[in-house]
Amino acid sequence: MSTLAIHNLQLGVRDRTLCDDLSVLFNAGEAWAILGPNGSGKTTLLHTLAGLCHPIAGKIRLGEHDIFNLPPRQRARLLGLLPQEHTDVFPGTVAEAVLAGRHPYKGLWQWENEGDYRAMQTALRQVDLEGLEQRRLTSLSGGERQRVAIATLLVQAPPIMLLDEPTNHLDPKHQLLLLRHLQVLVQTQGRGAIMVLHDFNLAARFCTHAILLYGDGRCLAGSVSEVVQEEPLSQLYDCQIQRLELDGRVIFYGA
Amino acid sequence: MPLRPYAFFSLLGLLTILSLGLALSLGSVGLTPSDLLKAIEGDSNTLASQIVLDLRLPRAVNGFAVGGLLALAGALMQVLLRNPLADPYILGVSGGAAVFTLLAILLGLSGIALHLSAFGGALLAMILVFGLAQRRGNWSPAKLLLTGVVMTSGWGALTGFILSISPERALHGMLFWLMGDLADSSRPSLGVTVLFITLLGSLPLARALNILSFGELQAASLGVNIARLRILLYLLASLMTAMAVTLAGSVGFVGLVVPHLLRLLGCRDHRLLLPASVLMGGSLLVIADTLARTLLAPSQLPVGILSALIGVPIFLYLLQRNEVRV
Repeated sequence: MSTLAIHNLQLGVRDRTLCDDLSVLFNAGEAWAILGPNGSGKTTLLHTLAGLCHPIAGKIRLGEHDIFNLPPRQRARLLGLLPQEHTDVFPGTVAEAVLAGRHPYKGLWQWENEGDYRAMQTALRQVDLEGLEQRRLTSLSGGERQRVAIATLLVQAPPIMLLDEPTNHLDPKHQLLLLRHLQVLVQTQGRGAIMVLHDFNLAARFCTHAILLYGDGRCLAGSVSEVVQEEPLSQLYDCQIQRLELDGRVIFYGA
Repeated sequence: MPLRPYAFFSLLGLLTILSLGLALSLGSVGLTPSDLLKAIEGDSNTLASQIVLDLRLPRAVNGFAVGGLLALAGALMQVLLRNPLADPYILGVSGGAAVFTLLAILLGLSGIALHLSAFGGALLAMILVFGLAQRRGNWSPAKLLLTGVVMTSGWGALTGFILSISPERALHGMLFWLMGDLADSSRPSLGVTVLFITLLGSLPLARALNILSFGELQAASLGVNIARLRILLYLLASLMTAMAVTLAGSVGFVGLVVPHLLRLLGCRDHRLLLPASVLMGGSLLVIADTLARTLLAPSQLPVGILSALIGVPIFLYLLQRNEVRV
């Protein structure tokens, strides 16, 4: 299983430095949360990790390759991205959107086969959209569209999953369903997950590690028990975050 | 209901044969199907055979090639620009061709010289838009689209200027060219060859086009090489449009509407949509041209008028029906 590693990464937009000198090794079997206030560069970091935009400085290695030297198709079999937003120019059916995830595995003239259709149906069952294959994307609610996009990532089945606000638009039941499923994939199949989250309680509960992006160049990476704590969180979001212990469970809340 | 490809392409094939059959048999000399077969197989010295093989066949083939090129270019352009309103002319390719052709008509040129100036103008327009849109390395679909639309307005102004200073005897020919006309079909094999090559060139891109319509970020993360795909799409679509404009002037409507017609019929997968666009665009233009030749015979109408008159009601009907279902 290939690992993703960043060395001395420096990110910025225009004249602003978003993150200065970040080095992290993302191992298989780890789930990372990226936390930070609006505009702190969470999505930029995720897209850079995906090899879709270049950092100002630093290296990103996927297994033994520099990620920017990998052919796009090969990269897409190792690493998948759930985008934050979905734009459908010519909206088709749920099935078409999910089967798109099989693209990196298909040759130029190959069509989807029985196996791909089965993978599509399994993924739809996992996101609780069973039987909606032929529904038009335009007829879906925001949360349902988000679950279709998650199903696309599930059939892409990359060893490393990058997710930009995966819980967007999802109701509590489906948020938990999704994060539990990701947890199972990470723990039992040795995959890696890196996700942008806004809810630090979900991060504390479902992730093993976290990166805190302060938005001014400072960043902090470590295990959840180290960095998802009152002090760093309060600094991160520039507001008082307090800790509450209830029935053996730790809950953080904005005071 | 999912599309059944075999049935769908059988119908399109039937439509193609029917349209070509009509184009070959209708005209000043009407032919029955058996006359037609005899004319094609039999002695080439009979009048019927000369009419069919020398006049009607080249024109029908040329019309099919132009319609196919425009519909295919439209389908590619709509994905490239991520805009359902895009048509092959939206980036000004036909505008450039128009200005150069009208200048050539004004200078009294004819025949191959007209074709060459049209093609030259189309290429110039293509290079200008591409060069302007990709300066500083940043060419989003929106920038490409705006550059193209503004250039089209510029070409339009130049066209208007040439029309307003042209002598009256040249105006009729100019207007026909501007509305699209297949009267000069002296080189039918050229269009068909280009159509065949560009279709073969676009088919390997078809699945990537499906993915691209879910957004560039999604496509890039699924392993589509966006930069390369964009350039290929731009080159293919522009060359097809340049060829179509060279062969028949600016025939409106086909390129915009045929891909949408097919999508409304449930044909959204580009692996089916691209070849289907060729068949349907080609047939539509052949039928339109047959009507353009025969409706007010002996005088002829520009084919662009007929293609729009046939296409508009069909399209509106399908759009209405589809909205009810959604």
